[in-house]
Amino acid sequence: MDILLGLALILAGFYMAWNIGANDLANAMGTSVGSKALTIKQVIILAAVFELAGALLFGSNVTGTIAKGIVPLDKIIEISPLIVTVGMLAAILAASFWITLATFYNLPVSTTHSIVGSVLGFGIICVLYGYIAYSDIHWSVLISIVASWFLSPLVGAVLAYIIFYIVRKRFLVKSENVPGVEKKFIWLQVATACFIAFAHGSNDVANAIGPLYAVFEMYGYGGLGPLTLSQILLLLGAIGIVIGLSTWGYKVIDTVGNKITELTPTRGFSAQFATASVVLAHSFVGLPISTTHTLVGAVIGVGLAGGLSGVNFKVIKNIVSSWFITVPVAAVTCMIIFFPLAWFFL
Amino acid sequence: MPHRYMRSILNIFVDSPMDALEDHSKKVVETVDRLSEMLDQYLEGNCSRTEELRQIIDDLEHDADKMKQQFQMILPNSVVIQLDTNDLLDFLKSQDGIANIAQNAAHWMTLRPPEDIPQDVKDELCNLMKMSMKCIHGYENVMKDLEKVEATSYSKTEIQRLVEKIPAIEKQEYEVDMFEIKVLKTLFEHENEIGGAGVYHIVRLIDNIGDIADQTAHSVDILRKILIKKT
Repeated sequence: MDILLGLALILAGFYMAWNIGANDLANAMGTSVGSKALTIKQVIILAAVFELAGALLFGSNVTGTIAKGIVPLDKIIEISPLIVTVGMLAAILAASFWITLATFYNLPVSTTHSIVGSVLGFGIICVLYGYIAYSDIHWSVLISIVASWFLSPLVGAVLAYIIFYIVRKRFLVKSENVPGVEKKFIWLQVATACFIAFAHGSNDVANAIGPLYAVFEMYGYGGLGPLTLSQILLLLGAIGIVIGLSTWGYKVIDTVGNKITELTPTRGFSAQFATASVVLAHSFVGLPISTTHTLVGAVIGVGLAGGLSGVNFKVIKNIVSSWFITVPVAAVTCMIIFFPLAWFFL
Repeated sequence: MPHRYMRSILNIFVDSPMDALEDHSKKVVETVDRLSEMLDQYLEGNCSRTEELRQIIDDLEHDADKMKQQFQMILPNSVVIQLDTNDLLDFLKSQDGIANIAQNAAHWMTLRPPEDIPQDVKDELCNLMKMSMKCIHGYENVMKDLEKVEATSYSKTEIQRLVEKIPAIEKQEYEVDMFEIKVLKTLFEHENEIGGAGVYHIVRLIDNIGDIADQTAHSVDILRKILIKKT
């Protein structure tokens, strides 16, 4: 493999990981800081440990889906492995570009949706060049992924609704000392903060390293010592995410933690537990979903169960719009980036 | 820190309308507290302090008005809250009315000097004000309890506990009404000394002070209706 291409891939993957840590993981962890149970430093340490554990233990399923689940890379490799390398670089650059733009304008765009969209863009390029047939793209997998994007916030909302309903009935309503109940839930919230970092590691690290895995595996790079190639890349992605969290994410944590005073420990626990459960379940079946969007669904669930004085449903409109925009935009951007790269490297 | 260059979930959260109502109520209670102080100063003939307090009351009422307008801003159609928006706006309007009455009383007070007010009328005016203050401070306690109601996500027990405090405020308001009649009787006993204009001035002052209790009772009545809907 061309060293320049390999380096570009690693850098782009690392940038994606940084962005995921700086925004998505920071949001998920920020909901634990409002209760003042943990300092930002402690949050970063906990997130690092559990993000790594989640990535290493359960991250390979989703990585496999992003790397090879959507586009039949084996068929393209037969024509030229360089096409796959350039395609994956274009995909990761397109996703990074779109994520950067979205972050600049505070748009609720998902890194998962971006990378899936851009990998699909590469698939369409291959169809246009005649490397594969249109029907070769694994549309059924793509449909499952997209369906899970709709389903995951809904399931998150229902689960959070049920959890908070139980917490409210069993503890808040019956208690003579509500602040005492909230205090006890602080530690449960700390535990769910670890759970959410673990779940995030199991699903979102793949967004950054999925394309890298596809390429490095294709060139036959093996593991290192006891670690397999997938584990090495997952480790790399998780480190990138933790660096993102500690270099920029702490600002997001601080903003989210200080602003969302309404998400008391009982409410935070319900939303985080529901989110982490839904995300982890998707990691088991290898479906890449958005942790942030699931968290939004869960927060709405807590709100509907009476946990919040109010929720702004405008954000749902924005998120749904972002679903419809992200995939085509990322796909088209990937196609646009592919042409100059192909001209240069192929 | 400005919310810049971030993809965050912040936009989903809205400021608590109950917190906003409680903040507004604090401003209203402060306005009435100042009116009580102003009445004391007025009856003692301390003109400069009376004028200062009138200005303070004007400012407080203006602040309460601004808070009312901000409250309407935090509830666009896209926001779904636990309570009926129209009910909350009715309540806010009624609560704001207390500050308006206090301001009217403050203005009216300054229109005529207190020199010819007989001492027994002065004493009864002070007592009437104290009774209205008792009513408004009962109301202040009820508003503080809203926080507990919200913390339990509107548990029936907490709502019941809060609602049970309301009849005491209504009883105080009734007592204010009764005492108003007593003050008026005392006032008319002095009509020859004070003259028609003096009587009219004090009658309206009595009305305004009594209206504070009436408006407070009206506000808690709306609050009770809002909360009972949640049970």
